[in-house]
Amino acid sequence: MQKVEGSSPFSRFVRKPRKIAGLSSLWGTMSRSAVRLRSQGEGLDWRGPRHQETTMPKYLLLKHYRGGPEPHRPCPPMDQWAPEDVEAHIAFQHHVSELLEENGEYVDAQALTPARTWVRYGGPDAAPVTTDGPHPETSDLAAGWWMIDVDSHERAVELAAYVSSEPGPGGEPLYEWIDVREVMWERPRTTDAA
Amino acid sequence: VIDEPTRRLDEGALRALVPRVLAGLVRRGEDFDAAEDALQEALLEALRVWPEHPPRDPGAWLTTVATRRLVDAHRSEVARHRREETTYAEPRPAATEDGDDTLVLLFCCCHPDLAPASQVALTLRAVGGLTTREIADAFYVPEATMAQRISRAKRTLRGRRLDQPGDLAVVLRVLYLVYTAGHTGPPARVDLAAEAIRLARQLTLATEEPEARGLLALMLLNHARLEARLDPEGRIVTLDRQDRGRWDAREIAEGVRVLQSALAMQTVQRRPGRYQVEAAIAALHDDAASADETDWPQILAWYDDLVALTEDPVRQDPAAVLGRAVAVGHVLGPAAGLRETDRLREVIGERHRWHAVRAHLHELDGDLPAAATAYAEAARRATNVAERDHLVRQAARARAGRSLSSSA
Repeated sequence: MQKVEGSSPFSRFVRKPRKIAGLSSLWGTMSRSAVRLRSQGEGLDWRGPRHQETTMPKYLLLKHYRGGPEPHRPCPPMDQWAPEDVEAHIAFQHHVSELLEENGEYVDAQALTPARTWVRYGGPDAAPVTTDGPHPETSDLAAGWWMIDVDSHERAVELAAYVSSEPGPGGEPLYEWIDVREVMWERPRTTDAA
Repeated sequence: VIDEPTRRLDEGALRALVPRVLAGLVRRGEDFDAAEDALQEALLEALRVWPEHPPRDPGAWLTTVATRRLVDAHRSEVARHRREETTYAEPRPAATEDGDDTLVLLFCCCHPDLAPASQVALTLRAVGGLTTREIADAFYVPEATMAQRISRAKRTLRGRRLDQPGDLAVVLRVLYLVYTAGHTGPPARVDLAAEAIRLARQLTLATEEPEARGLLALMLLNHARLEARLDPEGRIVTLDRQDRGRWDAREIAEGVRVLQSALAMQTVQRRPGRYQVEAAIAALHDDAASADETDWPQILAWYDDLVALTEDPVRQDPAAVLGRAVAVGHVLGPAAGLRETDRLREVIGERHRWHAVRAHLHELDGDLPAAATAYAEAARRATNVAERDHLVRQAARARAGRSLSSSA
């Protein structure tokens, strides 16, 4: 189980990352799929007869502190990594936001603290009932997300896989499971069948 | 209430000038990318200045201001090049293409090398005359994201010849995409559906292609029902229960007229394309005074034409096959309609629309438990909140054993 509490991969995650000198060249050589990720739609035939498949959906790429499928590559909590590995990991998070902005696919990014409070209605004239634990170690705990605006579900999956290639200990990919969730529109589209 | 002077400006008239002015600049030999940027700046300035000082000739005013921006840009470019001690590339010779401005620009913005989202953004800015912020708002993305999308698209176009006739099929699809990207309900932002109709109308003035008219007709005939699709609480009202008095009779009349003019151009070799066929189906729905009077046999005949347009409709056009299944259900009976949907299970069995259509057919068949299950499955897969809520309500109603006719 990947545990990163206390030193979250999102701890220095900023919503609007500014350019970091040298970053793009660093990731340009290191990342496996950066070139493909930078192209937008090229190589695909957009002229197919499927004009009904034109919704331009938004997705959340959700990262978790814990929970989800069995980790592909178990690894120690982040505070036990070599300092340069921690730096590289955090720099990658900035790089992802930059990449999304450059592609015109960025909508939003947020990080969540691991602290959690469950709240429920206490009944008439009673205070809300809260509990902050303990929670079972296996329960899901979201760490944050990128919201993206892309052409297709396939594109969202492609970007999620790229996020999951983030460097872990020793600079090796983390293979972290990323939860891809489609954002619902508030109202139906103009042509949705009534 | 704050009085906004800019509101008094006729923005529609202002934006209608955009393609002509831009095409003029490009024909004069200006780079599309730079000219489009300059015109965008001129537009923003017009929005600021015109309410107080309306120009005598708005088109000439925009051209002059955009040209000034271009000269400034050239100057700083030349200065930059001098500093770098490189020679300044000669501007390309003026294109002599004399086609219709709107069409030329649409071909450019809908270049097949661009991704759909970029084609849409560029079209709305360079032909529609919308600002980057308005486009970003319409698509619920940050302005910086939309700006980046537009500048990437223009970078992709750099160096391509843009004075050649383009692919009209792509232009039509992009305009349809703009239309579908709109949402029902009161438009809080730019009304993309209305914008698409405006652009399609401009396009039909520039080309004789019947499919362009087919697209305009389809949009009009569909748009005419938009108001009736939600009740005052924002709940979905299905076609069979809509108050047909709220349909826009003027839009329907125009849509039918445009469609007829397109269909009149057909020959044995040249059958109506998909937009005309879909418009015909919409027209038949619009034409029925009540749901019971819907001419389902004729609708089914048009659906037969629609699925015949692709070689493997189940895979290439499942939405058409699904629509046809509904028509089959009404003409040949619900069981036959359900059998039609079975063919689609493998392709779109995970989409909410497939389950919603099956629920409707089960309900027609009087099988409420099966309808309830299918409605619930559809709700689980809905991609917008209003539709999800609608499907949950339908599921609960059918589960409670109440048919549509007995529920208020």
